[in-house]
Amino acid sequence: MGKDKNPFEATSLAKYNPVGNAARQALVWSPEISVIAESEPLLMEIKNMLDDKDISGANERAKDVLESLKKIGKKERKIVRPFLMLISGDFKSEAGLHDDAEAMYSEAAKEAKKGGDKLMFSVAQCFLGMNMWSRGKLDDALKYFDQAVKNNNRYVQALINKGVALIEKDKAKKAVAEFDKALKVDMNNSLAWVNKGAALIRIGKYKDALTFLEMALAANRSNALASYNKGLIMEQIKKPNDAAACYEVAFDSKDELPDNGEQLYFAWVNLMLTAVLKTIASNDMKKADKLILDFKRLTASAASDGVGDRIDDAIEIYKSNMNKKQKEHFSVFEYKMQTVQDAMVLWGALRDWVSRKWPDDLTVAKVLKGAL
Amino acid sequence: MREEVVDTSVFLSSLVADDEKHNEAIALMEEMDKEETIFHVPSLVILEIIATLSRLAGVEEAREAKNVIDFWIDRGKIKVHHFDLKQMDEAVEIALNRRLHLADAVVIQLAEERGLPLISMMRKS
Repeated sequence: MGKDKNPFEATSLAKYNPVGNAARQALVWSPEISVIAESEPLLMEIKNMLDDKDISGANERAKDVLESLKKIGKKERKIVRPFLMLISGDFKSEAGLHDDAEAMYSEAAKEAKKGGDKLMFSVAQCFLGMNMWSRGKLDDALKYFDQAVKNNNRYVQALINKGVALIEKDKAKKAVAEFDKALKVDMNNSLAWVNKGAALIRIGKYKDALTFLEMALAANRSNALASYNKGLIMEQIKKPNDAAACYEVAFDSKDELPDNGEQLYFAWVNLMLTAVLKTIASNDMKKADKLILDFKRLTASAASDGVGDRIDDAIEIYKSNMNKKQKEHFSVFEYKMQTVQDAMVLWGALRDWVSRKWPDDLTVAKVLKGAL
Repeated sequence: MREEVVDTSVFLSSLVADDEKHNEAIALMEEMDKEETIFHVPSLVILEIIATLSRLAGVEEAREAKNVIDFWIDRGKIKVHHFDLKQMDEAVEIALNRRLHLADAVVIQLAEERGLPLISMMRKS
């Protein structure tokens, strides 16, 4: 670790694949249920409701279908019954009734297995996994994701989610293998690229990680997760300016990050404070003032977003790891934080005053064309 | 670092939130503040900003604008150019030949003399 580097380090982040609702996924994966839906008006109605994300309406209609199940053939019944249970599970999950949802997805899994529908079984397992995950039961979640992908090795969402759960369990190397399986099925899946990058960072393979993050960024320049993870690599390979630029991009869409930007604030504060203290140590006060202004701006923006405490927490962690020399420079930083003037903030305040008094419907262009 | 000649419209549009060019002007001001761009302006532009603000927004607002602009000038982010007689003659020729307002002729003269792009919220450079 470098002499002027603070021991605090942010960690790479992976994000699970949103899977929507189980019944919709069943329609995608299980060809049998789609075929039956084509010939059953009530099921077609449910399908349309699911397409419109109307889970509540679909759940109501599912009850009617359940009552009329006797009218359809035994073979079809075996396929339709677990599908209706998935709808009920989705409805309960949406209502926050996680125990009830778990029971329905479990029942759907049993029925699908009994009916020999491996693909619908895998959907039920995946949603059991998501249900466990949302309740913090990571081991159980991993178990269900594992079963889901064993029964359907082309189930990209389940493969990705298994990989993310493995990262959470500090098994990044195994996670890489899952993301590779997902990419074998869908090589253009940008979430699989980013998550693979995050896993590779955890095992120190920065160069390989960068390749996958760059692929995700080439597809979408404002990908917050890819930018954040790339920023961590830039720090590791001693390119602090590039790291700062990546974090700036990530800040623009920090809500997309799985932790809503918590690690991003830590990473940014760590990077900025290291740069500021180094600049103060080298007595380059003009550059220090510029960095401190950037710091003040982010602090102000975090405060206005109601997350100012994240900056304070990150500063406290940084302070607790400073050496004697850094502590001296930190007091200069604190003094300058009070005294350095932010002209753009003053200009912004002035804009508010001017805009209030400026005559309505008078553009600047009109004013200047008539002037002098 | 880029260097540009800017006219009064950049400053004023950045101060009028409802102006159609407001966001564009604010982005330019931020680039200047972050030292990604140096603004070059004839002294007449500063006078025009302050005079317009005092007429349309108020004297206090005009004074505050002058204070903030001075802050940028002190830090070398804005470079103010005072015209001599030769430069004024050239600006007069531009005004006459191209049938322009005096203020426009002055910024064009500065941009042409220095070989810098002219940025305006009223016209393309």
